[in-house]
Amino acid sequence: MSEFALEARGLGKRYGKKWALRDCTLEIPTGCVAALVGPNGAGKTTLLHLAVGLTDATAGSVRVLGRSAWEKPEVVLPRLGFVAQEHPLYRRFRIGEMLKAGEKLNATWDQALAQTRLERLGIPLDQKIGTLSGGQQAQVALTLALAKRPELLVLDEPIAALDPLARRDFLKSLMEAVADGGLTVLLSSHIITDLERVCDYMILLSASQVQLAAPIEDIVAEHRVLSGPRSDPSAVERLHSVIQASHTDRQTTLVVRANGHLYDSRWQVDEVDLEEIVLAYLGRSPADAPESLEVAS
Amino acid sequence: MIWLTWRLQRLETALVLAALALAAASLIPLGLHMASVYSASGVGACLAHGGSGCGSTVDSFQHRFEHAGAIIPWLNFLPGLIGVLFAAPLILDFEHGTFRFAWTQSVPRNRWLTVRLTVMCAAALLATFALIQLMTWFRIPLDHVSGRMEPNVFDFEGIVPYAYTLFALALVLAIGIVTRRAVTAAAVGLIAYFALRVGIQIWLRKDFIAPLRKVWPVGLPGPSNVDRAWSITSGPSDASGHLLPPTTANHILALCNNGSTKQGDLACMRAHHVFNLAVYQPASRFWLLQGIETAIFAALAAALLATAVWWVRNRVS
Repeated sequence: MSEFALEARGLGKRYGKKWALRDCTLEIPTGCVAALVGPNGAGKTTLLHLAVGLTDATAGSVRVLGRSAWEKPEVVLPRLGFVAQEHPLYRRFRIGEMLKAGEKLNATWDQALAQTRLERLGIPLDQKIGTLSGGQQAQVALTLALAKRPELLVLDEPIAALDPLARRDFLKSLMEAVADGGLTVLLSSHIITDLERVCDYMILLSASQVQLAAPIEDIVAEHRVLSGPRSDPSAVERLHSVIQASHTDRQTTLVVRANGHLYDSRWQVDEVDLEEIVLAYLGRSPADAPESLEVAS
Repeated sequence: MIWLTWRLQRLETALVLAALALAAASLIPLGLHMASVYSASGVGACLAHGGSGCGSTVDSFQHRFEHAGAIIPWLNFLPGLIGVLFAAPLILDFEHGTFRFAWTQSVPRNRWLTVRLTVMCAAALLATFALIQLMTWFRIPLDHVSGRMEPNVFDFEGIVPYAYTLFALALVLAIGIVTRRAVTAAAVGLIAYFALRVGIQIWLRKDFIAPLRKVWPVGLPGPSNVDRAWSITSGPSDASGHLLPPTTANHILALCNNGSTKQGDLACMRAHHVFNLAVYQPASRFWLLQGIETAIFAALAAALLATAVWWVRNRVS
């Protein structure tokens, strides 16, 4: 087993003249639950599609489980579980038939796992897919991906379309699957709430580029918010990177990625939670913020 | 993979079978009736051996049954319908995004595409085979009497319906894969399909090879292969084969139709230099014309399928 479940090097994808993803270099360690976070149109779907081999790269390369899914689908696909955005399923099928489709399309297939899981969720096998709620459809799609017994599970916006209750249920059952062991998860989301409880690694994508990729623990530990009387932050910038600076008439507030120990008597230093860190990064570069291009095709 | 493909097109297969059953339900009783009249009234014997009164026997049979199957023009929709229905499940895969499910299972997408296309085309060809068999059986007596060169017959027999079906399927599929809209693809595809079908039938088919052109004096027997042929132009003409203007023709007809004998009338017309003109494709060219039209539609179908495959492999993710 390689050290990284996913490795991207200078990865880029262009649709026409528009770069949906650009110069993306990142590693996702095996065994973690990674969140790919960013606003709509940041290139999350493009990155995931490149990873699972639905499309090929314009520049650079991406390897999952040590190989390129685009070049070696017959090697990579059996070890990979993928749930696309809006968790597409055959609407005219009964759930049992959907499972049969999974069984027919895969050499490794854990039918017992799928059946037990759906039974526990109270989703009957003879029900038509089209009559299921959004939350149930997401659960069926997740079940299909898990029944492949994948080493890497990739989920594209799995909770975006779900109401808060279904969202919590989905993440809970995802956690149970992860607890069973041996699974690396990469899930994208433009919703940050709830993710912190589930994920231990985060990649922040904005304006088609990676802004941050690190264990969540480290991210939270490294970032601080500084507040003090209105002043020029250039003294702080010399030692640390200032992610966001905001000023009122009297006060200046800085979100800072600390470079080692941070002590300055002029500033009040506070911890900052993940959501604020993400928002600070997203608010950093409004000039090249992405126009809302949905690169789902 | 084959199970999945079949399951995905189960509903469409049922609809095609229902349409074929409807056609069979209306043609089989009529066909049985027609066959019994054919043998009882001696049309077959007349065509084989001739004899007195045979002309009127054959004419009345032809008159009675040639347009009996009112459903037949409607059956022109069937090859198009078969093509649309079998193309639909694959288009829906792209409309609903379920191809992303299929492509991330363990079957590589090239194999997925090959199986889907093969099963889809085979099913469409099989349904077309059934339609051809039904129509050819139904038309046995009529084909003996009036041949199978005319449109509405030519389009249902031989091999050309296979090419129609494949062309309709490929056209709708190509539009559907590019637009990812099944309903749009079906509507636009069917309109384009019929436009091309009718256009070729009306303007091009008769000139695939130059039609025969015969001119002979009225009252004399015409060329024998004009029977069962596809008549393109016919009527009274001058000696060089130019059709007489209707006013001239009517004038001579009124002049000569003076009530004496038929022989006398014909002699009168000959005196006015009236000839018969027939421009036609003889029955012997059935397979030649079938081959040319099949080649045209099959080539178009192949080009459209290639476009669809290229698009799936290069533009879809």
